[in-house]
Amino acid sequence: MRASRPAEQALRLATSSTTQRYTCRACRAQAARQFHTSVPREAEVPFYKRLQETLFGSKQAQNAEKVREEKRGDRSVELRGKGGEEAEAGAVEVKMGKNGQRYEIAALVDPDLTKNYTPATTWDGLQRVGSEEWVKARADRGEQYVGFVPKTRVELTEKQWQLLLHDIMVEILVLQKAGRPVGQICYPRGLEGYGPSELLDVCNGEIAPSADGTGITISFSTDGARKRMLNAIPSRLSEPVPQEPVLDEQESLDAPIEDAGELISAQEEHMLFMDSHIAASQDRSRPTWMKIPITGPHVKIALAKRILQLTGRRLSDRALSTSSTLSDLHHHLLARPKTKKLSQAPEIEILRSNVKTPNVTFKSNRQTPIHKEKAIGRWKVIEEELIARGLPVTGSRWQGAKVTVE
Amino acid sequence: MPLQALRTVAKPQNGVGAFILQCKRLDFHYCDWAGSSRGMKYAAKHRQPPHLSMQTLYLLISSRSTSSFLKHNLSAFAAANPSIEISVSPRPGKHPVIRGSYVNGREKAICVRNLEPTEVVKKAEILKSANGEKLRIERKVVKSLNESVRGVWSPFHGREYRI
Repeated sequence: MRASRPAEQALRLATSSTTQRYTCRACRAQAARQFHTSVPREAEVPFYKRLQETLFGSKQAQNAEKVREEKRGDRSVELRGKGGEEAEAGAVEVKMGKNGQRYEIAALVDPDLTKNYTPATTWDGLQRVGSEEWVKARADRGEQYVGFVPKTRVELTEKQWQLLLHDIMVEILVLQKAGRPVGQICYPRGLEGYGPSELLDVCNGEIAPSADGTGITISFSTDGARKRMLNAIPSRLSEPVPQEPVLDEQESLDAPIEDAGELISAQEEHMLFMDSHIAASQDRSRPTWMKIPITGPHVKIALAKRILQLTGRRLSDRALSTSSTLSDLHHHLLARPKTKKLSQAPEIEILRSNVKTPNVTFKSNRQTPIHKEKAIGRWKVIEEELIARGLPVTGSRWQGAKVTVE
Repeated sequence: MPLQALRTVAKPQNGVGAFILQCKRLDFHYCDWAGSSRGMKYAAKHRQPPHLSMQTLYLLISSRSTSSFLKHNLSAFAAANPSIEISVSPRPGKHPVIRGSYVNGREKAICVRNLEPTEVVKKAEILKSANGEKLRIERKVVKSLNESVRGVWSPFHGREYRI
């Protein structure tokens, strides 16, 4: 350890800038003497010995391997003594690691003892540590859960978005007036939450600014609608219970999650129900209720969450923070995302279909010389001649050339 | 020998009778990823250039403030020049370029990297109004198909030179 101190000093001197500090000649000379590029103890070992250790392992490693083999041999003898198969089947040896982690030691299988043991030829079906399924199983801890966002994103028209916003706002206001947290709107309801009477109650709710202009009033055409709606929305989160008995690990992971399917089909039913009421609800197309200010961040978040849950459509933070009314949210929901490629832009689509400019052609892909030859009809002649001469039609016949996939 | 009439061939002069635009095709190439194609596709607000033809000014005025040449100006340009075949295609990983093909079989290309839409329009106008001839320095500015009126000088005719 004493030898490391001057070496550290030497390294510090070598790496630090010497513009500001002064080092005397003696210190500099000592640093030069003590500075080593290799570890001093290894310098004592001759080069051929070091090479031998690298290739064949050091004596310490070989001894450790011998000890491990002996232990393995002892274990197999022990297994034979215990009765072989029966002992292997039941025993799961657990070892505690340094930081308190539990490790299960893999069972030692002696092929001479286990007659029905056949070694695998491929890795299909074998447990793989670090595979996607393994990670998922560990992360979920064996639980089956239903995703919050639907698998498919729903595309709605302007009218449908209006109705959806209206219905969600009705539910939020009912919860607010009942003194319940508005976040409960997203709690899983099951099929009974999407019954025809519940959907009708939501659709028949009317939002309007209050007479004095300070609040919002909500009115229903049917009696008991408010109560039914409150009963349909659960007040607490229930534990996710899988509908079917737990299958084998692999099968359970691969099997479709039926809870989510039922939930999604209920959401689709809601959408279809809305579609059927678009014609009947022309009065609701009046945008006066859309100009009602959205008060409180909880309401905005509940709106955004419910929209995400039903349609899979996300609202950006900027859209949420800059929106003060439902019409602002509506505008953000209708806005199409910016296209990555110019050929997908709406202006170019219009240009393509414009009758007034028949002289414009728009190509989505790079035009190669082959495209140009094809346009004038010369390509087939070129292709025939190349094939006749045994030359590659596209690419080159150089051995390292990339193989073109047709 | 009977008098023979001078054989004259009609001298072609584009524009005397009918005018044929020499530019027959314009290819616009851009890159979806590179920033140098921004003027072709997405541009910042453009300023009105000082001297442009009425047609070009109209194109600029009719376009929006945050516009791009291909998205907003091209349709007007194409409508104003129905005799030119316009083709737009991506050229990934390259600077944007406008390539003009002419009646004499030659091609001219102008790179429009990092140009604003107004400047792209100007370059398109340059290509449209050009013929396919090579750019050369014009030594003799006055050109005429007619012979010289007073005859070409020769040393054998005219005032005798005496020292």
